[in-house]
Amino acid sequence: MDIERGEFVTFLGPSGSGKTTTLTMIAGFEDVTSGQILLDGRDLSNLRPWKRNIGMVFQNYALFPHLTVADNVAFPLRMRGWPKPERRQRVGEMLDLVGLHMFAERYPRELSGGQQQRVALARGLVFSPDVVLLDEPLGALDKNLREQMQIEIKRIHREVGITTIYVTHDQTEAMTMSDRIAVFSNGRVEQIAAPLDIYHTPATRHVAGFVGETNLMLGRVTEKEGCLQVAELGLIKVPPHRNRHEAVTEYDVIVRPEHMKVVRGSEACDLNTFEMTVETVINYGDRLTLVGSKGGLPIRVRLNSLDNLPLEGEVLVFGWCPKDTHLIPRQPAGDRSQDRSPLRTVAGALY
Amino acid sequence: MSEVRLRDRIPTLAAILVALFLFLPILIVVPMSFSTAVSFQFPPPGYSMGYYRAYFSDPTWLAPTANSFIVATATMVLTMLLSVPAAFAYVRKRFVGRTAVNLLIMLPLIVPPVVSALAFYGYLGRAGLTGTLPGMVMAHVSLAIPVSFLVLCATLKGFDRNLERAAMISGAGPVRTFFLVTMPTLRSGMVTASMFAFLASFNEAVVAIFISGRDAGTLPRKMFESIQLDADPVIAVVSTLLIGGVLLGVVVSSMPRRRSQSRTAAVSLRGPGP
Repeated sequence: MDIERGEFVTFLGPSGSGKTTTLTMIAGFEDVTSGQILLDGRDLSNLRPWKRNIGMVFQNYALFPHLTVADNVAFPLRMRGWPKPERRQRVGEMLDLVGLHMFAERYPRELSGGQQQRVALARGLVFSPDVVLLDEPLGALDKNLREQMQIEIKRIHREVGITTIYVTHDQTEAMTMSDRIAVFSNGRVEQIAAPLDIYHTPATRHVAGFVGETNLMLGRVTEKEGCLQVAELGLIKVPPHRNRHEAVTEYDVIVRPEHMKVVRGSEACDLNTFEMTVETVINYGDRLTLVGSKGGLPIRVRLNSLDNLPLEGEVLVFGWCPKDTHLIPRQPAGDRSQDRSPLRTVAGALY
Repeated sequence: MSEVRLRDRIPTLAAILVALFLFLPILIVVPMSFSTAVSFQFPPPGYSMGYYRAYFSDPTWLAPTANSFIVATATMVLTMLLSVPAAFAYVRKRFVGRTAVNLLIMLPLIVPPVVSALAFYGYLGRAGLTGTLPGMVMAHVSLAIPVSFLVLCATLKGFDRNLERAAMISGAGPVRTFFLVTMPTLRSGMVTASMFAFLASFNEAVVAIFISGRDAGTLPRKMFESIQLDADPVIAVVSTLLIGGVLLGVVVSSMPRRRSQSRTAAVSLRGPGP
């Protein structure tokens, strides 16, 4: 994995997927089991954490309770032997950046969670580190504050331009903030790509399931060109020349709920259609999700229009456009490992 | 209406009664220390400062007082030097015999004081240390270690190790991390542990009676002897001074906490910031 200078990369994955472990390895708190971590081309493995020039923000803030906000932010500068006047000026700039200059003489326990997180951010950035690592920094905040802080962190990243690695299990956070997302699972990186690419062309079933809602089906290759056989839905049309491999006989077929629609009348000629009983209607206010199943296969349909509100128990025809179908080739059994890059090759270079 | 009010006050009344129950028997020594009676008598027949003068001019009282302070201070310092590393090792490292080590450190707390006293008597007697201040300190350190070890372990278990990581990634090596972050964060726990170590020695009477002899006698020992031999009201003076000292300590130690509480209150009144 290569991370460009100034890039905002998110490690996304469920807990236990290895994202935090990778982060602690970059920070130097854990030994790299195999592979290398390079920073500007130099190997970090023999550098102790305090020699690495990396900033870090912890989920629980980890502010020094016995120091004021200003002294917390000044700590990395003090460790680097900055003279006091320069230190004070730089700390002032950082507190301005995070909007806390009136709180300089407060102690961490006198601040709210969001304010403490900003102090932690200022402390992580104050010495202009080569990289700043954020370990689930918003995990302890409530939803509204979390969204506010997402915008805030994004703004600060834009202003400061420091290479940022952000760890989260929240896919919304990953989607809204990142230049690129690395999706982790079971200690491997499943895919690294821009947020929209991750969403629209997930590389594996796991990525598709973890990022956004998904309708997942198993499609078998048939003799009929441009079609797959899905047990529950019958023959479906799929887009040509995408992700086709000669040897592959099975595909994971992925259709996002928002690409499914209710088909009324005779527009259905080019769509893949099926009839389904609506079992549950989930109303979000601005949109609806219909949940049902077809031959045991659970299907979710997102409707953005609230006209002709479907009722629970109603039988409707649904359909989706073949071009909105995403196919992931299934490897023959026993050969599964090849399509995912193991973590040891992931630990590549950070530029 | 008044019934409701009474019911609301019951917890307060109960608290006051319990406080009185705990405190009155102790407070009774205060008037007795100002008494003119030749022995303990309550209420006192008259008041005077006579026994205070007696205490402050009698070397048989002042010497044990000085001994107590010397032994307790030395015990405190030595105990901390031994129990801080022990607590760090016990909480943070996994090693063979960890549970056994814990039990061993706790042993002086479990063994009845008289048994310990007897053991010290035999052991220190052979080394020629009975009746000496170093002997007293050695005995008291072994009694104080489990107390401060317990406090330190509890403090250390609650310590967030991310603070140390944050210090290290900020550029502080292990030594600076320890002295600039770990120690200051643990300060209140350290102070408490030191206080307990000091008091474990200062309040200790049984071992002192067995091994302190004439020259290294401490205050509790002298008080025991005095109450057995002549019931001298000077004991009431000493007790009053000790109560005063403890109260002063409590007031002083609670002062900075009150200040920070009021500052927090000011913040919350202003509401959460932007």
